Amino acid sequence: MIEIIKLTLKEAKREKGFYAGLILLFLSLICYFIVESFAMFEPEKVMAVYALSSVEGLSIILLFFLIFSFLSQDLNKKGIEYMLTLPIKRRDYILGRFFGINISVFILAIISTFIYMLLHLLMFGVCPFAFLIQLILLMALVLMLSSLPFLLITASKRPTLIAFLVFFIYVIGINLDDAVRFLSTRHGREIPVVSRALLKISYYIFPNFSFFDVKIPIAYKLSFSTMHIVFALLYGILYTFFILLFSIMLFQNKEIK
Amino acid sequence: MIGYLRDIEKSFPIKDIGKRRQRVLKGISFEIKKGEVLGLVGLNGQGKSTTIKIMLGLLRPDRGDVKIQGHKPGEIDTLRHIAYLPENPWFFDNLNAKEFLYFIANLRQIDKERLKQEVEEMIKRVGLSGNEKKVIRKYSKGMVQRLGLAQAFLGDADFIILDEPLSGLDPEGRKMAKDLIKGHKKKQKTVFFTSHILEDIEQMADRVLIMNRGRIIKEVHRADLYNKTLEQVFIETIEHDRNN
Repeated sequence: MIEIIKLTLKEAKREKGFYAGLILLFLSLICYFIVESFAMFEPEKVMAVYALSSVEGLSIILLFFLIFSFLSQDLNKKGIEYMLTLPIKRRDYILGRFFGINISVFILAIISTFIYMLLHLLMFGVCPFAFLIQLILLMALVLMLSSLPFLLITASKRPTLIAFLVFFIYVIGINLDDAVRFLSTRHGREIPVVSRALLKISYYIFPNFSFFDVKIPIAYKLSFSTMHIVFALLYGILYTFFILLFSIMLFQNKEIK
Repeated sequence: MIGYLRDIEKSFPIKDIGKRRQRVLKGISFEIKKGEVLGLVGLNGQGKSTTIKIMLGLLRPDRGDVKIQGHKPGEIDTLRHIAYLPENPWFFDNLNAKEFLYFIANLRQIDKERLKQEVEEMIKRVGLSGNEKKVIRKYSKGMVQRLGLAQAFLGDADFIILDEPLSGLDPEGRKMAKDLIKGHKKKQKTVFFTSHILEDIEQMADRVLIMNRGRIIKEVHRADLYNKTLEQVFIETIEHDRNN
């Protein structure tokens, strides 16, 4: 597995997407000063939200780029077929690729978080250590999201379809809480029973990424419970574990046509 | 004996959804002997690649028995003894030849002390010296094929499977590939390969299996050829099979 992780990291390092991620980080840093000059009230809080959103956005963009890039080469160019003729256990292929992709994204997320923390310190004279909490939760979100393509490759050979489905699940996942909250409003109670039931089922089936979003409480220094952080981390790790376990079980007996 | 395939049958669904299936392999059987060069020939779409994929454990037969080195195909113990060169190979685009061969050498558990020397020797043998630090995506088709041969012969696997090993190679490259195969046989190791160029097969193989419509229809030993070429035997055999 270590060999596959090293291979994935080497490949990711030379991917155009990794450099695109660094360029986007540079651009977002330039924009930081532009946005800061427009922030009329509470610039410290506004910029904290900006910084945390930038780190999350960059990490998710890089993750999707790497997922698509590795899926394309492994599925379209028959990389997977060749890999499985090498003395590699099938589970090591999945875990090696999974950790390789995650470590690449974590590197960008950590670098950008520390740059923003330093910038915040220089601009406002306060080191925002709470950014690290959002970084840890972001890592859990990335773990969950990056496990999904491995489950989907057991059912489809089309990288575009898989990348689209992962994006679709991501969009549903970040909006689940808002959607369920909407159900309890007056307008929400008016929607058809079937739609309400579907939404409730989705709530339990799809990964709920809204648990990992503490940007506003961190930026506005609102209190949030430690239990929420612990619960979100446990949820992310367990969800990832079961998705990977299920993927390995299905992939173990998959025929490579 | 390195391995065997007995009464192998394999079918695929005609469409993604539905029960109708097309039988691709219809009970093929053959043995692979230690130290031989065994060729598999056949027209396009007759089941050669499916046979190779079954030997590698990428596909499972519907019926029949396969054993390679005493194990089931695809098991890690089997794969440790096998090296494979796919048809139209693709290797990790963002690596260079040296990094890729180190990756393969580590997987084949080549001794750390011999590793560097073996990789460098192999790069030289396949004629990639001077290009070993270039990323693979910048390689021509012939260079990728040379790299494919390098990874297959690196580490002296007991059993090498080559799917169209001479495809895309220039005359010098073809000679190099033939020398590698002959050298491997001299070490009492086994090579199984397919090619559409029957002259090459005739030059290298000790035994040739002719495949048509999902069956092995003839086994030709080099000594059986007498004054005929393999191409003549192949065409006669295929035509005879078609008429029956």
